[in-house]
Amino acid sequence: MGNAHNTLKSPFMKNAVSIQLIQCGKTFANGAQALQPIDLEIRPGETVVLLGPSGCGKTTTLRLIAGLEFPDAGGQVLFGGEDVTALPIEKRGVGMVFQNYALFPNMTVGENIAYGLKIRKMPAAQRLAKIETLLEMVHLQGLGQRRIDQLSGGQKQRVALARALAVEPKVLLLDEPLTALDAKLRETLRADLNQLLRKLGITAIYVTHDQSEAMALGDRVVVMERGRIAQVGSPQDIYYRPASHFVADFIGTMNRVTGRVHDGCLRFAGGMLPFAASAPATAATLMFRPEDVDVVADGAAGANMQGVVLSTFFLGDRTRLVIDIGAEQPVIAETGRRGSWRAGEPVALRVAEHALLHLNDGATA
Amino acid sequence: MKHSFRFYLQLAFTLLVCAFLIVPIVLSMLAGVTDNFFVGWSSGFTWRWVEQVWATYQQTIWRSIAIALACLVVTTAAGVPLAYMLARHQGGNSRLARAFEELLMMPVAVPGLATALALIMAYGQYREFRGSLLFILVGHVLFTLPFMVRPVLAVMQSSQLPVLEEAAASLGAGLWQRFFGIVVPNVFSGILAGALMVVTLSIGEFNITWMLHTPLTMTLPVGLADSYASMRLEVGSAYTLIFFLMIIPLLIAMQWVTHTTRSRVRL
Repeated sequence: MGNAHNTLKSPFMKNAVSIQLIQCGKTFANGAQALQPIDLEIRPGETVVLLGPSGCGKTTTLRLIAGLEFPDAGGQVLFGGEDVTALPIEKRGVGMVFQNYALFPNMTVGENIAYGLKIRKMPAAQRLAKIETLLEMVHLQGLGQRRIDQLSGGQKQRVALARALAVEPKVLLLDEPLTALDAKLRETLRADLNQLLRKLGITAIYVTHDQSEAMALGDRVVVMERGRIAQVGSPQDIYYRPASHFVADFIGTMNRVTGRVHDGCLRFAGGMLPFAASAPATAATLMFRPEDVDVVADGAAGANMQGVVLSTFFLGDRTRLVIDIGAEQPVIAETGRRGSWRAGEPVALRVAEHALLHLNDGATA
Repeated sequence: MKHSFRFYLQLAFTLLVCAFLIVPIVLSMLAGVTDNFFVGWSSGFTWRWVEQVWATYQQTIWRSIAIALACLVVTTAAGVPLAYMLARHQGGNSRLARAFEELLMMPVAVPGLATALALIMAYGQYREFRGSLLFILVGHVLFTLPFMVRPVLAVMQSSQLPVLEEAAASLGAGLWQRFFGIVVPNVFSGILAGALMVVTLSIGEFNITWMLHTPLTMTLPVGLADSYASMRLEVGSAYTLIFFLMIIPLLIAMQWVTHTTRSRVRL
């Protein structure tokens, strides 16, 4: 196992390149603008996740980097500082993994993995040795002779990964690679993929609409919305310091309360929260995560809000409570404490000041 | 096992229809080996007529096979890349692709005689070409090309060929490497189905060939018409017998191929 990695480790480390998108926009022939001109810089060896709902332009961005689409006039794609904008995919040296595997059904597992090597005219003996190394790397030892239709979905995606890595690409591009798999398999493959990407040190771009995948895999996450980049940052940045209401709502669950500012406090129907406003705002919105809400006994000291439990969901490791505080939206709280709450029970909530988030992006939804 | 009256009624009807279709064929084949058809089967069995056909029309048989094979080569070489280009142009669903497909079907819809006449009017003055087998081949290719393009295009559209090609391209394969390494092997079932159709249609083609042929470029079906028109009925029947022996294995192969590849196409 370890050997397999070591033999492959060095070429990727050496090969890892930076990627730069400069003013890359994409308008399709039918006039639809899939991507506004965007700028993005990806460091060598970094795993960057493009995250967003469908139609946000994440796949278009990936295809621009791959060379499957070309940016509108004025856009530039650089690999390691070198302009590759005009190069088609076969000249860019990228490895690609697709959502529906895209394995060649007319070839065996081994032949699939060796396809790129054969194109590069690697001698047969060398090819065979490399197939074995790669099969071992993706935990598929001994399956080289299998036909593609004899593999499970997870195995297929492992073969696709081995095939993409076989040619030692400068960049690895993954287009929703786990979406077609069932939940259990997705988790295992995600963990393996994470380990592999760290060990190889290859520059990787990963497209997904699944935020937990993005959090788990990305060194940095690029959140996209309607053809624009909404935020770029580490998973922690994105989660704890969302730059916009869109990001805040798209990643995880976010509570929001709207009220009036008075004496350093935001007052609303169910209670009040500390509000250190420099701006003379009279109406404002504060946001906080469910796990930052402390559920305490009704009337306990230091409570910020009072409400009534609407419903409870026992999730095993934690309990999710939906609490009506008399405001427009109920507050969602998640607690790891063992307790039993019943619908209709009055509770008090406490939110620490550091967990509160105030956004000034204009959108007040 | 006991069956109802209705079952026997339906069986009888089915057998009657089958007989209606099969009896003339059997009769014709039997006539080919009967000494004298007007006297009847009692006149005795003979290979005489088959031998006579073989002696007189052997050339037409070889010619038909040669044309069918040449036709197969041309339709494959032209039809597969054509289907590929149609499929690549917006997945074969663009208005242009459909218009092209309809245009291809024209020689099938238009009476063969009209197609042949048009060919003669356009190219008749090139004597060498007019009198060669190549002229017949052109007619056959016009007629059979859609039968190669359509099944190949259908397989291309039903498979995930575009993404397979993207994968191959990402691994460094250029257009030619992709076409021969990925596209052709994965649409092979379509090519095979088209090939059998083309060969079968070319061997049996009469309308266009009848108009285009010269005594030196006569094919099997034209020879058949010739023998019916100018010789004993038994000779024509013996000719039919030979034709059947050639065409039936092809038809069986065609059924077998469509049956065995149907499940693989979905992959």
